[in-house]
Amino acid sequence: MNKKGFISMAVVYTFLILFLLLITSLLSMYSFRNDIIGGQEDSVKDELNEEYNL
Amino acid sequence: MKKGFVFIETLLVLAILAFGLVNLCSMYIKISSDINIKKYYDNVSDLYKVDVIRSLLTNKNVTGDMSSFNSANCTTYMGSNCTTLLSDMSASNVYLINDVETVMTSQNENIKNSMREYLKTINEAQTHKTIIVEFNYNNRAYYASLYI
Repeated sequence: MNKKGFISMAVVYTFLILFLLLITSLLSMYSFRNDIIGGQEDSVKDELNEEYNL
Repeated sequence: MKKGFVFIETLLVLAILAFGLVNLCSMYIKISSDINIKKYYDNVSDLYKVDVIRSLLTNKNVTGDMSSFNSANCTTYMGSNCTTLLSDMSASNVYLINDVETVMTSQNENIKNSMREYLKTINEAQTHKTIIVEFNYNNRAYYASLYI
């Protein structure tokens, strides 16, 4: 039985899944860092605005 | 029988791939625009600089919707040392605004496009007088704002 097609497709799909996982993890990491920096900036802004926020 | 299965399998794989890639693409666009907003707007160091400029304001009157000044004509709004201060801080323009939404929707030609983009990120519901400072580092406009 010819198994060459199965093996090559398995390799292709494995790389595809790895690529998707890599991109998703990178994006979620960026998003996480972005949220941390955004939180810091918001808290600084709120603190500086406190006495003017009537 | 087998040809039919291969066809359906191909369709399914294509559908799943397209769905995944469209999701990834939209996620990437959202995150990259968020990162740009965080990169150029309301940096912590810029916010503290705005706080210093705000504390040195001697005239907080806004004529019309918006008043603006820079290091060349700042003596009306700040003390006599303002030219050096604003230059040292790389503050290219200072805007005093009564109402963000009014300025954002106005057809005032003096408002730069980059400024309009920044105004979109400020909470539109706020009705405070606001000081917005445009900083210029490496020929890029950075904005930060506080209430006055």
